[in-house]
Amino acid sequence: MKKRSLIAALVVGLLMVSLVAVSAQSAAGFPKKNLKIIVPFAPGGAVDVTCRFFAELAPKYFDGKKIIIENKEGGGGVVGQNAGAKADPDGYSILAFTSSVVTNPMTKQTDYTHESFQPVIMYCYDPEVLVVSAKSEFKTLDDLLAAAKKSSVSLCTPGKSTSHHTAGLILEQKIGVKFDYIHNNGAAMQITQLLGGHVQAGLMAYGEAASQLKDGQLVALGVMSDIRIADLSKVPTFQEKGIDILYGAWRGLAVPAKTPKDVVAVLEKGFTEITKDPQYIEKMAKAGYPLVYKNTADFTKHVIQDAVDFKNILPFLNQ
Amino acid sequence: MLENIALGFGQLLHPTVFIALFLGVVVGLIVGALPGLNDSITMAVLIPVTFGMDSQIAMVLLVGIYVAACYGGSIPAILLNIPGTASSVVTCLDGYKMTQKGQSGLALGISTTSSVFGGLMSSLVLMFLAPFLAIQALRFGPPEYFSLAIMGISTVVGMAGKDLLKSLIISIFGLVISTIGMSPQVGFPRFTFGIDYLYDGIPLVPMLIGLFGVTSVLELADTIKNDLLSKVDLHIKKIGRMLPDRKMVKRLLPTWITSSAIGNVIGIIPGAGMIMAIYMAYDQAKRSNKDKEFGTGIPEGVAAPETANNAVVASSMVPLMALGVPGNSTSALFIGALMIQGMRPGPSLFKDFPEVAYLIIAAFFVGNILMGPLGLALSKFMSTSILRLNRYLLNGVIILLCVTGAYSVRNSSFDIWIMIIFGVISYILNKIHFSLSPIILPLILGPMMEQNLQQSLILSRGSWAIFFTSPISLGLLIVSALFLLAPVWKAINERRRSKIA
Repeated sequence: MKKRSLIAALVVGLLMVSLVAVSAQSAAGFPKKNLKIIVPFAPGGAVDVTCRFFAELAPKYFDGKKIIIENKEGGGGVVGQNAGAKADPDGYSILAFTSSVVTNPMTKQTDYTHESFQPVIMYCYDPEVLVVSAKSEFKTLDDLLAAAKKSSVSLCTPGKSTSHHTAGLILEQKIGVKFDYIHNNGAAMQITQLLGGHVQAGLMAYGEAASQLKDGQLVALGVMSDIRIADLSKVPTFQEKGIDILYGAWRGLAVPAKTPKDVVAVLEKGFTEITKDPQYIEKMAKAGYPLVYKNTADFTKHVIQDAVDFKNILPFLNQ
Repeated sequence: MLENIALGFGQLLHPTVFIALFLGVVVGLIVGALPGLNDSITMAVLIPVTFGMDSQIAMVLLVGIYVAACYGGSIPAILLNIPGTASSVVTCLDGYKMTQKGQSGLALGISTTSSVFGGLMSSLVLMFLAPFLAIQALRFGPPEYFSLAIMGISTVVGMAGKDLLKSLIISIFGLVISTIGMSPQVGFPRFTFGIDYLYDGIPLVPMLIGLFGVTSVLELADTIKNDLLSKVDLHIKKIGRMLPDRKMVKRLLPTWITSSAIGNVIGIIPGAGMIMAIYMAYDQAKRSNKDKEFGTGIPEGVAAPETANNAVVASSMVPLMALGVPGNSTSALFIGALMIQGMRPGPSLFKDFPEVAYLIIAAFFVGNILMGPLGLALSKFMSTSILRLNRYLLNGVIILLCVTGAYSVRNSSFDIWIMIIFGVISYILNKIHFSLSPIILPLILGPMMEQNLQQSLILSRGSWAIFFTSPISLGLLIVSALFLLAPVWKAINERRRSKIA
């Protein structure tokens, strides 16, 4: 009997110590151990590669602690995003946070929404471009939109309910054009369909088609950003054409919503410093990922706005 | 042209570049030979690391891995009946039977020479015909892909042999379960029962590991039990002669040529895939060798898929190098690797960085040559060590590799369950002389067929004529019909003949 109560006392004692440790952990001394970024996509893709750039420079900015990349792919991001939402809210598990965190919960059954997360920083923004083949009958944005107002134009996307599909739907709502959507798994098949003349136009992130655009095999007709893309200085933005649409794929980092504020602040500071590191800037530039930074407050606003936009076009998604 | 090719080969004379290629081939062989690990996983993990490397060294390292991995996969397929990579599933059929007959050495030798032959053929295609063929591949749109998938699936009939009905039942079951996951055009999850892990369908690699690895462990356990009773020696012995002799080379040459042609054509079409190529090549070899009973350890049965899968390797780079469009998911990784170096695939690569573009092409050629002797050495080492291993131990090692392999694909324990379920089902079905392996091709081609069917019908606004007005699509459908009807025709003829007699 005595032995058992001793053990019980020990267990209670240990629990208390660990509880104290957990609550004291929040601010001072974070991070005490290595951090982890959960990447909800396959290794080798844009999200994975850009996160690995963070991992390489992490020890310099996080007190010698490393960042481990954990790929949890599946379900267009759902598997990894779910793992990110369910992780302990202690700041050690970070999710590679992309536009699909907003769209997935609204289009699939998930146990989380974008509100399950506290955004930390945005580090990349890839604006949406409307592209056609160089041999296309459409030479300007006006040509294409005029045709799409008369009868529908076939438009390929990298996937149903992706931000690219959403961009097409918003366009339909705003100016009354009509598209026949051809959904694929990723941008590679889109480019094949455009080059082969099987589909009339495509919506994708600029980065996905950059090499064909530079070679002149594909032509961009319009960009959904507020200023023209440096590499596509001749291509007008939709805003210039009087169509108020800003859209693109964003990439950032987030932690579970319940993470203590001061821990989020430490992460924001560390990652912000990495995005200012010349080595990081060079890597992003070389790889062709547009480095666009937003701090915690601005990024949170951006995500909320995105969710509102998406909710508005949701009724049109399955028509 | 020749000047540029010389530029490519010239760089390989540089010791560090050559060593990088050599290392790539060795790494490729090893990851290929380990079930669960494959070229794309290895390359994806290595790509961020290559940032710090010289671009030439980074590229040849990745080329080496890509060249060697699918050949490495044939070693465990032949020795243990477990494909090291998905591209070796067909090699198991005759390869393992040859091992059981004590011809493991010859099987490995044939796999090596066939792989080198197929690899060199596709390297030549990449070197000389890339721009022309890439443009031809663009003729494939949704209706053509649909018909290609139909033709791929129709090889099931040819593969089946005597058990046509059983094969068809399993194939249809494969098509049915290929609908698990997100519907491609409507975006609705089907038959996922709320399990996130099923959103992308039944994961292929864990399923294959179960189908082959777990099943053969269970079957090996059976034979050990029987062996104990009869006190037979627990070791498989002989390796036998490795390199095929001149007579064998002469015999295999037609298979090599047709299989590498099939591999090259499939490789060039973006997204068609290695698995389709190996099935088509095996099917074709079987059709042109009617006198031999495939599936009982026939050399052509090893030569055909192993030539075809290596013929896909370099040719899958054709659309990437010529147009910047990846031919499959592995060659897509080269985009990431090039981008990190500040380069982009496509015609501009030849203009802006000819030294890198032609080095990649030359590396495919030389990598394939290096693969021959290195592969023979590895197969010799593996066959002597594996076959000498006590079978109790061997079983333990295999199951360990299976579990880690299934888990490592996407770091999920759910995939281990997939492996176990398919392994046990397949073991039970084997006991009642039903083979589960015809499930593989429909499972892979089902989603491709469905997606392209829906895309085609959207493009044609619901008219099925789109499949017959495209000459390529029509041609593919006619060939599929011939494949499907040939056995029926044969049966009718035989019946008529027997009536006359």
